[in-house]
Amino acid sequence: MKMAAKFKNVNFDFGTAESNVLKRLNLEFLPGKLTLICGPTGSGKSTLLQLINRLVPTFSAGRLSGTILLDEKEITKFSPAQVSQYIGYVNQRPETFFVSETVIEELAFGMEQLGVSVEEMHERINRVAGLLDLGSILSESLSVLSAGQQQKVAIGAALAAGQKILLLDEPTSALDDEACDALLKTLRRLADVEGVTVIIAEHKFERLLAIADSLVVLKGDGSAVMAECSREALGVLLPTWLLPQELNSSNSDRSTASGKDEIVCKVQNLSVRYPGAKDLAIDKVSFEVRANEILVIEGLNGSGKTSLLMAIAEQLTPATGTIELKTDVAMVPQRAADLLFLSTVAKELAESDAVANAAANTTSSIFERLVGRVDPAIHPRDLSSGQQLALVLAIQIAQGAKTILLDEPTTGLDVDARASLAKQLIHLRNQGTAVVVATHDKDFASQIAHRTIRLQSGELVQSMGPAS
Amino acid sequence: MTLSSAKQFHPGAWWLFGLAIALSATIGQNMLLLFALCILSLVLISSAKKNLQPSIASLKFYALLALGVIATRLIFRIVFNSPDALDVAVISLPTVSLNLGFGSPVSIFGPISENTFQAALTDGLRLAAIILGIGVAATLANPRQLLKSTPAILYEVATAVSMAVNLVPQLVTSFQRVKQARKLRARSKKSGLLLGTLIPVLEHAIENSILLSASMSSRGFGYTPKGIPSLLVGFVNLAALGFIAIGSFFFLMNGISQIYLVVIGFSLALVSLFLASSRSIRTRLVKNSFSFKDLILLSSSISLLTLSLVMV
Repeated sequence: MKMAAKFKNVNFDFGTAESNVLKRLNLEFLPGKLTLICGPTGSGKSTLLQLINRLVPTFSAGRLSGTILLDEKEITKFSPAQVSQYIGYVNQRPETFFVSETVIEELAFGMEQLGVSVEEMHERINRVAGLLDLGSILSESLSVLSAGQQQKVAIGAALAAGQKILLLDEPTSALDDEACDALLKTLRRLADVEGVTVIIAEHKFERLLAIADSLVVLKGDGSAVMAECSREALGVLLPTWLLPQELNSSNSDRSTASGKDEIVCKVQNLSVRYPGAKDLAIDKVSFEVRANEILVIEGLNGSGKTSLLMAIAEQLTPATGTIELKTDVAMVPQRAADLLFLSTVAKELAESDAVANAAANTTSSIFERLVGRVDPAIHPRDLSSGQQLALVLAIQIAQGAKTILLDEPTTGLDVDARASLAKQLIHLRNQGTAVVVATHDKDFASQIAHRTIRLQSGELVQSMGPAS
Repeated sequence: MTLSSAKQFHPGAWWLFGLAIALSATIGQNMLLLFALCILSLVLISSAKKNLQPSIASLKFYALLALGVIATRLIFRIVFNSPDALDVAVISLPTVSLNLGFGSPVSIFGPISENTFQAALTDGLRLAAIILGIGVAATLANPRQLLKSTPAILYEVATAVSMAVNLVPQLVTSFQRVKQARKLRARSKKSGLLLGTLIPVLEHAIENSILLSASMSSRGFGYTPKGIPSLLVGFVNLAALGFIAIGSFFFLMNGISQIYLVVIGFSLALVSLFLASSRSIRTRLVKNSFSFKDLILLSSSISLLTLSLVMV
């Protein structure tokens, strides 16, 4: 019932002029072991996972050499569908990987393809629904779920199908603390009790260090090292800037907050209801945002954080209540890259200047201040998640908005990019821009928050700060 | 959820109905009938619900597409006009003669008669009705449900089918997403329809269709355990196709006496369907079988076809 995956001298590249994405990989993933794959953005973590379940190169094209074995079988002759009987997979962006309309159908899909009996399917669905707290949303349509809920469904679908190898690509990026803990415990148990081979690629690996057995570190130049998992090993293998670190400098910045603290946005008694939904997404929420603060909106997945931001950005019409805005507001949505549509970074920057009626290079100098110099000729799609976010942020700042709303900005960012984002936001606030951040990422929130409000099922349950 | 999706029409029934509309439009000569087919399709599309909301986006998409088709047909007819001397001109446009440097000169424009105009409008309406008929099927038959009901034989081409079936609904979704993004970010005038909307929408739609089929494969769609070798199934398929193609040729040349070749072809296709299905191990959480409701839809399809045949 157990299965190992083995890489022997594997090289892979996408067939473009650039050097190999992965070079001379010799790795072994054993049954009952949990392996953490880490490395900087763009170092090939996702590619490595998809090589195991054949999505690469089947759907990506590219050149593969060397041997990949499942137990002792060479897998290059198999299609993704054929290896799916052994391998479960959770994609980095679950919403693009859904194949059904509703949660329950999505959970069942993999099992249906593998011929699991109907009774067994119901039993397994109930089990993962209990485990991941999906019971109340089984009949919901997938497209109305929050990002965190969507991620839970994707994980649930893979767990329910019950394969011998489980590949998870950034499975905790949109999960709140509770859901994250529950997931990690489950994965550990699956490995220990059922001997499942668990392989996880993750940017936010702090939590995983405690439960992983081994580590694969991708160095960014295509090479990889495998070692037993320990903080020390990680310290030796990873570039220092990728290691988890405290961001204390920001705290001192925060306490020196001074200057005007006029109210730039006043939300009173706000309720939002989506057409056709029976519950309110936002239920009589009142608070205000000041010119000189970073306000963090915390809350579990599906608690209404995004809806609240969308209402402030005038993208949703309130059912009741008012929103008074004293300045222009701009929003950086969770999928920030959606806002980019031109073929080079340079064109995006020029377009932004043109729209803002600003002098040439206004946006580009903001962008450079945020992330340093980036080759303007590259396609925005090829930027890292952190760079894409910074580009969109720069564009929105250049439009002259004095209130910036960010929705889950840390999704898909590595430690370094998160720290740099925190600095950028603090800098913005120091220049008098009000910053509102919706996030479930408590570490990040504690680094930047001047004041925190907490949402639960659409209601404001707690308001804290200003931080002392 | 499970109950409500069981109560819906079978996606196959919607496809048959959509094809019936398209076929009726192909046969139909009557402008009124064609117009009625267009209206019927638009009403049906507007009744489709997505997340409990009417999907206005799909309706807009298809309505604009239909109008575009009709307008294009009319414009083409006016530009590449071949005036009939016997007809009375309604609009008198001067004839322009273009010498392309090869062949005889091409004349465009010229006087347009009522007949010309009517013929162009009928053609346009027919094309629009065909497109809308397919639109009805694509909007109302949940494409993903339909995929799940795909006969096992199509597993061989499952990836291609899943991409094709999803492209149009995906276009609509992508359009909404790009529109949402446009609201969040101001645009310059320079970033026109093509650069600002069309290219991002196509990019999104194609990328997502590929992702969907990758996802379906990675989760076992198209997986068949060992059994009847696919080589045999492939051979039977090829034979079936050959018999149908050659049979149709002889049938059209020599009449009904040669129909037996076509019959053999279709029988072989059935055999291959059966062989391939026997390999399938799929189970279904909610059975999606034909119900009484679907029979109503089927009988309306047949009546629609009969009506358009009678009206010819």
